[in-house]
Amino acid sequence: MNEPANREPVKPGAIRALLGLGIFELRSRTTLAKLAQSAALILGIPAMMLLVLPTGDAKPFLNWIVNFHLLLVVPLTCLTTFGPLIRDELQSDTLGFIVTRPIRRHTLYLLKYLCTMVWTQCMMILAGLAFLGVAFLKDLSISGSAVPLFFLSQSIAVLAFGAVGGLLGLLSKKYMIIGVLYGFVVEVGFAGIPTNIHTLAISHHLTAILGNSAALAGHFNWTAGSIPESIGITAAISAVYLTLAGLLFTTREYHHSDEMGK
Amino acid sequence: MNTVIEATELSRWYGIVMGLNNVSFRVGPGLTGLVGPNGAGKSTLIQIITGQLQPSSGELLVFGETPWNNPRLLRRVGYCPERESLPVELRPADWLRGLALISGMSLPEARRRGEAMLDRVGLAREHWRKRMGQYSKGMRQRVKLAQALMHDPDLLVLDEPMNGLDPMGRQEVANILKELARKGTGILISSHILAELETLCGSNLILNWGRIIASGAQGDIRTAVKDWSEQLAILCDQPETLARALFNAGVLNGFDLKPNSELLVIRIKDAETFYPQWTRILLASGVTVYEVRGQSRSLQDIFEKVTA
Repeated sequence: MNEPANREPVKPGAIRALLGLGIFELRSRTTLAKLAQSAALILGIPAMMLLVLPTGDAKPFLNWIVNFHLLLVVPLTCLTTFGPLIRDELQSDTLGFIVTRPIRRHTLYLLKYLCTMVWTQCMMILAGLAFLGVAFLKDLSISGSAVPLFFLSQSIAVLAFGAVGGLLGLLSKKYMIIGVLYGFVVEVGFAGIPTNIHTLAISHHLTAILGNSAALAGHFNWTAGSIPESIGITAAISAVYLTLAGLLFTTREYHHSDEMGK
Repeated sequence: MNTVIEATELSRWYGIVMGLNNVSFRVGPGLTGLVGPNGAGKSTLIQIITGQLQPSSGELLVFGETPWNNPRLLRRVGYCPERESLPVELRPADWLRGLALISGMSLPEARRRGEAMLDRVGLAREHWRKRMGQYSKGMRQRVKLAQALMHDPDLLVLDEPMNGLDPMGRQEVANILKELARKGTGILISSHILAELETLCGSNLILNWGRIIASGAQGDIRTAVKDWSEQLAILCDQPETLARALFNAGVLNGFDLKPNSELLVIRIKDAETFYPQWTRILLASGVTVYEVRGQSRSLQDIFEKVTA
């Protein structure tokens, strides 16, 4: 190779690639327009809650943060954030700059997923803190264990729904429609079936984790599940989706004009 | 010759459409031009070389290895695509730093190389703070070239690298490429500006309809192209008489006569049979010849001939 003597040798690897992709993620998400979008995502629901929730009554607040935020907004946000993971690069025609670098494609996909997941987790943590602010302003008493369990289940939701969104985004440009169908069939349908099939639903594991809070279990009539088991199964489901997506990205060829039509 | 790229019976289909049709060729170090009309298969070939597509049949080796999903090989390859798309939210230094890190450089080295490459391709420092969405076509072209050069590749694959550059920019880029070629880097350039390829590239690959029509040095291509018409400009006292004599001897593909001029331009059918007969025909015609000039045909002419 043309390697001048005064230059250190290049050592392609996942850590350096992660740093590189992290720079792209951070820089592309910190433009004024993108920051405004993120602020709207973080503060939009808490602002609405401030307007509509009564003071001193925790029940409507819990409905908002669990049924609306955790089980609807988080999955949809993951779908819209992770679905375009590769598709955005295709659409802007910049994928060729990355896939011609010395990194295996499945590693590239996983690292891109990781970067987006870290960013989304940060956004969701800020959203969670904004919910706590709403609880404080509305004088609501939330039991101590509910808060960490909420943050735990939210981070697991981002991990798992992100993996689902990424795979669907690779499969089809109609990933939003497929994602909503997936939500109805698996997350709503399967989760309500009282057999082992409900273990396929991520939402089942989220509610199993949240059920360990007496306040949430009482309010939603949930039974507590094993937290390590729920984390383990959700992580396994995520790993399966990520593996499938990685394989798909490795074996598939991407032509800008053709691919955008699929 | 050291082989940089070697294709053996390489084909690539897109459904029923043939992108490349059973092509075999070799490319060595130095500058090689890739010429062909739209739809000739240039982009398909470039994408196979850079590991973005796989062959449908046959084999393509770069430095003896297949490029698809081959990080070890891709370390040695730099790629500058034709399309102008760049991540519009990013600044060039950030983008180059990120790509250098993905290529395996350390953070300080990535930063240093990124800035060095932006200087090398002549992107003025006052533009470094802008996001690339604000860049002109020429500025984008320079940044694209910088990212291709950043990791000192042994093979550079450039798809229309001169697009959007002003004449000075073209000269600067040409100088960079010549310098790299002198150091032994293999450079494959696809361009529509054939005059530029002609001055830059020692050899060319001419593609049409997914096939290699001609390849090698320009002189070799001229020789190899079937029915290639070498052209001579002859200044003489009776151009019409000479034209008739040559035409009747069956050695011409055609000729041009200018009214009230002593200039005759002839297109030779076959140089090997023409020159042994030329003196005899001339003497027999009784025409006095003042000057004979061989007109070297440009790459454009060759291209037009072989793609006609």
